[in-house]
Amino acid sequence: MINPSKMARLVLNLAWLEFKAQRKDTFLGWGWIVLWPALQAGGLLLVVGILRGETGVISLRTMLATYLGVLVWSTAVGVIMGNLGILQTHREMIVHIRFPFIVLPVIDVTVKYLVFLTQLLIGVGLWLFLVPHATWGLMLVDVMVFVVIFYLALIATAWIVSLLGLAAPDLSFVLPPLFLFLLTLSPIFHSGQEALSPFVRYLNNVSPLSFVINSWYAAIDVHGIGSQFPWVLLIAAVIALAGAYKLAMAMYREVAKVL
Amino acid sequence: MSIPGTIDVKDLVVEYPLYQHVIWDRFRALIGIVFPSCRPPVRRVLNRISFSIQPGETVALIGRNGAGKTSLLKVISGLLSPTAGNVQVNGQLMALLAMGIGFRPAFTGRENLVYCGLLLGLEKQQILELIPGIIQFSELETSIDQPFFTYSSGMKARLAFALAAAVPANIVILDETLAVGDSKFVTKCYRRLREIEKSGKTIVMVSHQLGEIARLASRVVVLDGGEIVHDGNVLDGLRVYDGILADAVAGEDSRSGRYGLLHVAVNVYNDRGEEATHVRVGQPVKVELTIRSPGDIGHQFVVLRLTDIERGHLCSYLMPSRWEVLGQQGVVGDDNIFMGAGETRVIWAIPHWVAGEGFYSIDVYLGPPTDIATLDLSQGHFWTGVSRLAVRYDNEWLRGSSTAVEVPISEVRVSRDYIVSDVGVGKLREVEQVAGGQSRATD
Repeated sequence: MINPSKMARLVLNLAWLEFKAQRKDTFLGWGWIVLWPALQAGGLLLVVGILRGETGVISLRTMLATYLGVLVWSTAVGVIMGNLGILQTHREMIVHIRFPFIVLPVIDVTVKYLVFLTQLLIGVGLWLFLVPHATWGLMLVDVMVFVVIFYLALIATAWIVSLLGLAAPDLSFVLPPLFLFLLTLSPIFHSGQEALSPFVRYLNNVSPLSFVINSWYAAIDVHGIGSQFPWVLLIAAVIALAGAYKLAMAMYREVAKVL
Repeated sequence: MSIPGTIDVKDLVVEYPLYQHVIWDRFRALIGIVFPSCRPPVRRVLNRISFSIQPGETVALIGRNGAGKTSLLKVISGLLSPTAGNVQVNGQLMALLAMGIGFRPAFTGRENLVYCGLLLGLEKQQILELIPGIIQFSELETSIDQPFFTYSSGMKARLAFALAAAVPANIVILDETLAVGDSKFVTKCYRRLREIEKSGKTIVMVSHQLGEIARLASRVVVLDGGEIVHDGNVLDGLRVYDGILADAVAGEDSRSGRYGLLHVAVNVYNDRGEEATHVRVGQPVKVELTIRSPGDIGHQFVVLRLTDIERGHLCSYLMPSRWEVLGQQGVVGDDNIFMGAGETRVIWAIPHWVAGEGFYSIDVYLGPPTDIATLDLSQGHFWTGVSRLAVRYDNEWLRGSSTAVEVPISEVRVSRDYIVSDVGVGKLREVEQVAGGQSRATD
């Protein structure tokens, strides 16, 4: 039986070690935490703008909204891609060290989330400071709720994806172009006011990532209609987490035999 | 009430998927967890085995490769779920199944101790308290804050063992983990294991090192084909294991197309001149190769090959002029021997047996005249597993802390003695040669 408080300490300690180790990987170290999504958002804005034939100056609000959207999107995609091969990557550990390896995806999510929270702190700070909001207090509450829900949803996703990646390794080739395609059509680059084709609307309706972005944009009031509590995402995340945990507990016991 | 340190294994069955197409069969195996009818075919590695281990026992699991030892350890360690049966482990368990696994190359040694300590179930504060002792034991004071990728394999092994040995546990599981590191550190590990054993903890180990088993085990469980064939006394267990290996290296048919009805035999004699199937490291021995041929087959390149059965790798060559340990420069001599009709014997008188501890098969190669540098094994014929030899440390070596015996190769003395029998005419020719010395021939 897993002791939840012991597991939480284990996850936090291991994730913190991993997070600290990231500064060693490059010259710029933690600087990339902020720079990377900014470059990604800027580059994508430019490319999508050119493709759509937009020549005007991009507003600060649009730039910040894009940055915040890309943050959420890239964190989710990072978790999915990172966990597709997590069991194979940690094969030696899984078959040789006695530890509850159900925490491996949780550690991966937590490390990515620590990065995400750092980026978010700066992004939301700028968003509140530079873009005027009437109900900023309520918005902060919604953002905090979203942060918790998103974390739970990512853990559920990571567990499911880790098993999917083991069963169908080809996904690691299929998903990156698909995610890029979905990103360019996502609400990050297409506001609700635009006349979108039925196909794009359909894609955004069925894409869980677009659903998350819509919930996120509603929480930070991108459309200027007031912050909205992400209750649909909350229900979906709780159901997904419970289901994924049950599945992972059942499947992970047998994983060592097939690795 | 369950006593800490006991292990109960009852009717344990472990099966692995049998792969024909890895990806597809793995997919089926995963789906099979939910839908059993989709499961791929399986192979059974442990077949309804049962035994109990009491606190304070040091149990060695031995058996040939694929006998199911590691699977059993993994099930006991909780790394693998049994297909059927029940394993009950009472108390805290520390399993060291491989050295250095889990360590991150980019982390320093100290960071890795925290990281792996957490994985092994320790609390962070507990690890921080243990770290000074671990560093002292591993003798890595000067490099503990260096990145792990700068460590040699010996340093990695030292750190891994030191960490594992520091983890408080009632049961310690070891899988061939003492086969690394220098002899000084291995001795230190043995001492530590002795301390663990004396403190009343249970040790379960898998090893192919008979010296390791003789040093540590109080009981031996021999596995063969996924079943227990012996459970009890150490020496009896080693004998059973010996028998299993004997079956595995049963000699091939000595007939060959090229050589017709040639009979080859290898015998080993101890210092009292008695035929021996076991020799001790450092013991004087005589190895005798006898080749009986109905007709004259002319000059032949003759070589005996020692193969470590368990590890399946080549150890050394015994040639008529010398014993050449692979990787060492031997004495150049004529290794081609005239084989007339009748019996040819080649005797190697060896003052100290220098091949390490283990089980060896002795193969005989006969081929057209050549030398070792240009030897093409496909040109001649191998008689594999002609003889089998167990090499062990004797008690004198066991009493000491040494784990390796080194006898300079120059001390190996080789003598040749062969008979050439023509029809109706008996003729004796003797050649004696001391490695590096002069040859002497008498007719």
